[in-house]
Amino acid sequence: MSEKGSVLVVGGGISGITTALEAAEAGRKVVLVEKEPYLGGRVARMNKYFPKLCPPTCGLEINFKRLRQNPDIKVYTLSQVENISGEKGNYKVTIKVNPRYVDDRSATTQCVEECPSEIDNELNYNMDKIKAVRLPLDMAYPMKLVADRDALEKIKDSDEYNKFASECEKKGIKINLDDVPKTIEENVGSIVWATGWQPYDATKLDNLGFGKYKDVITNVIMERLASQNGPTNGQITRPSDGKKVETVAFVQCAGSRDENYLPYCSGICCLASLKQATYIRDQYPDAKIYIFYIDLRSHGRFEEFYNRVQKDENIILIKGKIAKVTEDPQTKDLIVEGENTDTGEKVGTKVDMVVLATGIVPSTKDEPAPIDATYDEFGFMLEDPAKSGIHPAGCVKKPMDVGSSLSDATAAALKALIDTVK
Amino acid sequence: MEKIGVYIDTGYGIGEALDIDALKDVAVKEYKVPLCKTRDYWCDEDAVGEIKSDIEKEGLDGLVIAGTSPRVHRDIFSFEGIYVERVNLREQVIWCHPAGDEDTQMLAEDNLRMGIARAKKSSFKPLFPETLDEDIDKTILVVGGGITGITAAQGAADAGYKVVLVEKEKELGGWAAKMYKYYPVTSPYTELEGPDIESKIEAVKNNDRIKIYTGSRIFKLQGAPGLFDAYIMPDGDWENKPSYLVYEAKKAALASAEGKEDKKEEEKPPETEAPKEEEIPADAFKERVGAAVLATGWRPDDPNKLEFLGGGKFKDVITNIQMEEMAKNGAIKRPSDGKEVNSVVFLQSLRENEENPLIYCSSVCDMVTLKQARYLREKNPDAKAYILYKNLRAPGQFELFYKKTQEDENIFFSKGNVYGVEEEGGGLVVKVKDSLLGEDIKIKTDMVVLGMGMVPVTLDSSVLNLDYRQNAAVPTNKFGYPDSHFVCFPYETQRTGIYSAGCIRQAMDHASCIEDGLGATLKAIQCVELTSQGKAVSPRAGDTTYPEFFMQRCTQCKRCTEECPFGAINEDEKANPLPNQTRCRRCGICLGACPERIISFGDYSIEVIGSMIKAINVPDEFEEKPRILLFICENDAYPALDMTGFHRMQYNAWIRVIPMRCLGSMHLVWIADALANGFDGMFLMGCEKGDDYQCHFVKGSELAGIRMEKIKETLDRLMLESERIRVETVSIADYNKIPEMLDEFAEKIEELGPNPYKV
Amino acid sequence: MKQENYIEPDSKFIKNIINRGGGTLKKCFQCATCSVMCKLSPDYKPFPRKEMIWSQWGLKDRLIQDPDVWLCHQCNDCSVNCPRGAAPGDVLDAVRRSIIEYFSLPKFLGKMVGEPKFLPVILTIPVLLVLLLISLSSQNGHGFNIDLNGEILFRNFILYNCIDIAAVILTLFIVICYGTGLFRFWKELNKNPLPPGATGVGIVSGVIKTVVELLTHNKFKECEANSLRYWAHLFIWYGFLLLFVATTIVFLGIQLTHLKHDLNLMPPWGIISPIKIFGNLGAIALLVGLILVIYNRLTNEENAGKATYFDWSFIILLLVVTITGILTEIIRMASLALLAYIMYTLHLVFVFALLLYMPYSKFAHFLYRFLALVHAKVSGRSI
Repeated sequence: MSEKGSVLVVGGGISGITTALEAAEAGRKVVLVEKEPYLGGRVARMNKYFPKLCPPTCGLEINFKRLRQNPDIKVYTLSQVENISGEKGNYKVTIKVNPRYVDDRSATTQCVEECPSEIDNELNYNMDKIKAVRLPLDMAYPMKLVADRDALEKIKDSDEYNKFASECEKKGIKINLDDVPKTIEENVGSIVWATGWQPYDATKLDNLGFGKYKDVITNVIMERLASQNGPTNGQITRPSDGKKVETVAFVQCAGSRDENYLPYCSGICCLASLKQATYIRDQYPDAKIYIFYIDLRSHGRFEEFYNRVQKDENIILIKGKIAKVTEDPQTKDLIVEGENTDTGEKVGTKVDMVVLATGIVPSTKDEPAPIDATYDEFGFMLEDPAKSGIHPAGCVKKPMDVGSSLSDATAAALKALIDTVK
Repeated sequence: MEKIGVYIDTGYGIGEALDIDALKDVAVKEYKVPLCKTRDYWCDEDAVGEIKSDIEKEGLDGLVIAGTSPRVHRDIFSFEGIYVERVNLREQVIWCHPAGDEDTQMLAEDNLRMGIARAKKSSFKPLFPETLDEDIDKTILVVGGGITGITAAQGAADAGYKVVLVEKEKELGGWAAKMYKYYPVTSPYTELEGPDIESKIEAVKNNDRIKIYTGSRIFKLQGAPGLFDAYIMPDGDWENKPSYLVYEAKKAALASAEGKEDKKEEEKPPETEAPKEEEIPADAFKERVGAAVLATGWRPDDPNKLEFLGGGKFKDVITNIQMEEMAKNGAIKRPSDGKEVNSVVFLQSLRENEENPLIYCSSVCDMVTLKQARYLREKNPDAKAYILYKNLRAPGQFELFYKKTQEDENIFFSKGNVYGVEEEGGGLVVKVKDSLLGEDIKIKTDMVVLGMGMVPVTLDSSVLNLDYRQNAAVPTNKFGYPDSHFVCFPYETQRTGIYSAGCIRQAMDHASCIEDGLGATLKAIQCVELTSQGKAVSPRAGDTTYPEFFMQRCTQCKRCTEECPFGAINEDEKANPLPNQTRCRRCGICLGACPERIISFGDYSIEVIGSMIKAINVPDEFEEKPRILLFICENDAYPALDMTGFHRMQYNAWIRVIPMRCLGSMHLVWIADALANGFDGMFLMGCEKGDDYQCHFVKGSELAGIRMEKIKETLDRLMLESERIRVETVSIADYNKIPEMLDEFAEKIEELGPNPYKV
Repeated sequence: MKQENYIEPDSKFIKNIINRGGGTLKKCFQCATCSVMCKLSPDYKPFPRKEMIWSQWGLKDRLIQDPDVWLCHQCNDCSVNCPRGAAPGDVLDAVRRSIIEYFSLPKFLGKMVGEPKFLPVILTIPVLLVLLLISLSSQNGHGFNIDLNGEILFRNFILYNCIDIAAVILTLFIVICYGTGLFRFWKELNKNPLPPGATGVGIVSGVIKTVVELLTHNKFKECEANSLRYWAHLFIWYGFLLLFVATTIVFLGIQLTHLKHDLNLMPPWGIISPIKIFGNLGAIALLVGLILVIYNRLTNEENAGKATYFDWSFIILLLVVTITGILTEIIRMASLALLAYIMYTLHLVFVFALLLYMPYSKFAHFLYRFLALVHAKVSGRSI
């Protein structure tokens, strides 16, 4: 039981981590709940931040450092808030904590390489396989292994498994498939909801060929492709044949600003594509990149980044939405069709790879908070003075870039402070 | 530390890979430590218990725990009041070097030596607040009474803190109060909202925790977090006061940045000084505050720059600000003849010349235009509104407001490049190139509204008039934003305890300003709280060490006062450094800067690091085992090196690693020590520098680079190959590049042959 | 360097489009999805994106000169895929209507046909016309010698000469009114600058190509969102064609008989006579087509596009013409004399209505589109 007047932060992405740290360093006790086995959420899956093109791990590392040395923050991973009762200043929260099924002191991956069972790597959008016992991320916090129970159950009677298990035992890693979820109760005074966002399901986009053609990917997948710890160790290649890419098309507003899919603008996709264009240019000095957009929305100081990218004559920005992606049955090249509305000419550009700039869907759309809160028609949670004990932070509120999420999460920390003034 | 216990972990395969007894001998025989234990997994509960009881029984005051990287199990290995030194035998030894190998063993032993040496030399007595003669004040100063400042003040008060709110105008409210309507910020995002600031202003006025000075400005802000004294000047003819400084140079810099394709080295704003004690007028109020929120907001850019669009040239070409005023005061009429307005052309994303890129977007202009078009149509039902945009920017849910606005039959949208506005037949003509209509067009109109950019007032004025040695103004980037690292450390300025919020930080809408006001306030509160406990604020949050100055040996060279990225150190009239304890961020850059070596931290000093260098066992030249010293930034490069090991990438085992608080704290004497001790090469690894710097202390790696350039010159003079020293910047994600860097350097060193100073 | 033009939105024109089914036009934000989804849209200056912004800005003259408006067959692939909920298909339809109205002569007729409130007036005119014919027939000597028990002979009820004279007058009227409209339209079309490098065809082959296109309906085939439309339009079109041919032949037959009494080409023809079969096939085709249209319109509003009074009035008129026609024939064969004569009268009324309002009703689109298509081919816009 945490003491009254402490703060519950739900969601261990960059927003949640920030709120937790800022509130704790301002003198509050904090309970941080994350459903994944690691903290970092979406940014942990990214290669670089715009506009500085710096690695997210840099910011995460320093936050983890702050976490490690701060006794006032209790972190529950693999956990979900199941029930909340009470009112501002005094909430009872029940949290389901799922086991890691492996008790590990050593945070080493050495023996894990021997694991006989493999599962889809959800972190890489199932582009590759991963061991059933694994460290979720290179720089994971907590630095602890996690096991996929279902996968191991299947093989638990086999010799190779037992051999593996005992090997691990020697290395200080105890696999325990009989472990069971615990339910924990916490008493908090304020709640910050920072469960973030999900990428929009691109298979719903009828005419853009995702799921139909292998070389049509989404922007979140591109982040993994470009990442050192991604499925290709950072090499951006065609998923279909692993070949280098010479021409890539970015399709902006893939689903966003579209009544049939997401009526709102996802705010960050334009900049994400500009950024990803630089990934490709860094790897392929001759690659040509086309970015098709309706409006290039590089707000604020990001305009400078937009200008910088525009100067590269191998990056061609075309005003006009891509309405159709088809495949040339012979060459397997992809053809993106749109109208260049500046020149009033149709374009049917042949490219090796298509990146769909898919949008942001608030996690609260499918998983609303188990407490009375206010949402807009798209499922974004709104700051509602009438429901003063719970505060949204980051992308559950509206689409935001990382910097904005941080400042928003910091603001949420003050709201939590105010709720819990002794 | 007096009494040190050494705990060697044999788990994780360390036991198999290394000769543990030999390691033990290092501790026991060489260093005569009173206690040295080995076992598997000291992180286990019972093991930790054992350590605890040792501490009590043996009265240990320092621990050296040899095993995992200090980045692992930090929480487990922390004991109240005990100094803990971690020796990295896993990530940086057995994971990246062959097991059982002689060189690997040597490396492990050296690491242990360094650890023990450091622990022996280190001390860490929290210096303040005990050492402070005054109490830390937790009052929050909020400068600027617009929507941001008001929210900040209210937030701080609600959180239980006293607030001093200073606004230069007679009334609170700022721009938000001057607005006729707001565009919607909440569901369903389609209808205009009325300004709601009045109630907020009332709430602030009636809050007895908040002390308000209107019609006033900060004449001078002196002191440090927890101990600031703000001199507040009511009214008065400000422009003539020396403290209200206009940075012509800075403006010029911005202008030139606007003009050029590549922005040239922009001139530094002139060094400005806060008014002297004697200049402070008698009628100035003095307030003691703990931290400040800087929320003085923005001013519209100058329309006269837009001469080709008729800005400041034609009466009927007005700014969106004038439009807002007009609407608030009633009817929208033509300035020239007061006639009813039947058509208005709105222009966005304006630059002084169509060819130039926009240097930054003011984020809200397009939305403001949509709003103004909407109320124009409400007020003048027959009027037509033309909206000529470059990229219509209605991010997030604002898209729905755009959509709704489109439905109006008499609002006409097109992308287009407006290249001229002229007077013609008693009206105006707007000339547009490359419109979506597929042709170049001219539009006759009664009035043109320019969506002016928002300029942070810090571009013109030093605002706080800081009594800081480096400058009276908070350092700003080329746009005039008082920045530190806007993605990862929002709100932070390069002045500890001063946090920027709202449009002074970057252009934003009023809803974001409200959040911003709260966020910056949180940081301010955090600052006074941590400061009151003698702790550093981020990025070294919680650090209780503090640099001591051995003033007897100071030569008043001013390096420390000049190089501190946070302007922490002032000078007295004799140019002696006047440390301001609570301004310090503990990066150690001053330490690295001081040629007299008089600045030191309890666990981080010339002596401590020197002792580590000396602890390393350097074989003599006949053994053909060169030694390379790797000074590495502990924030990014060190974790990256851990990752190299994590991925089992191998690299040269001649390398010995010494982590730095920041590469900026690198002192030249350590290079000298190393050379004297027979090291053959020195490698410095820090964070990216330049515009997109990743240094957590702004310019640490940059300064290190400069210093190394200096020493290379000296080396050349000493007929010593300067290639023996290398400085590289890496990002935390570059772990895969590190082995190549190091091996390549090691080869180079081998080519150069042994350091002639080897004994 | 393109020359700059003063732009002055025509608010009335915008209203006009909106009131005629183009209500969604302002929703467009120029992403150009429509231009890509449209199978008929050429690569250079594709439609309907530019037509959408022209309509938004009320640029009447641009649209009047624009053949693309008529290249659209309103299959609504654009509307279905529009991210903004705008329906370019409907907007272009409304634009076409406004253009027909714009060229209509006399103007008031164009206006009246377009608006429900004038329906009574619109109907009375043909009624009066037929009554006049009947009375004319009865006045002269052998009028009204109809025998309700004997063979049913419509020519005894209303003299063919009367009908033919009326038909001739009507035709003249149509030729003049419709003709002038079309002529002005053609002139506007030719104000269009030819697309650069476009290789058009000669006027003759342009016409031929267009006819072939009409006969094969191949452009319609391309439609995805609304394929039923292809069949519907095909049936109506051929049904109408057959009937038109049949009628002409009959007309000629009658005239010849008047000239040379010895060859008797007077109706009624036997049911198995080629002409009859011809006509009946046409009637059936027409009926099927119409049923399809109505079904499609009613069940599939989203893809079929928004049906307006303008559409319905024409569809229904065509339907009653067909039905009354078929009934007349059946009843006559059933030799229910009185009923037959009444039905015949009705039939005539609607036929006259159909012809009379040809230049103003949806019917008019037939030749406007024909010209536009010819122009498109001649200018090389779309071959």
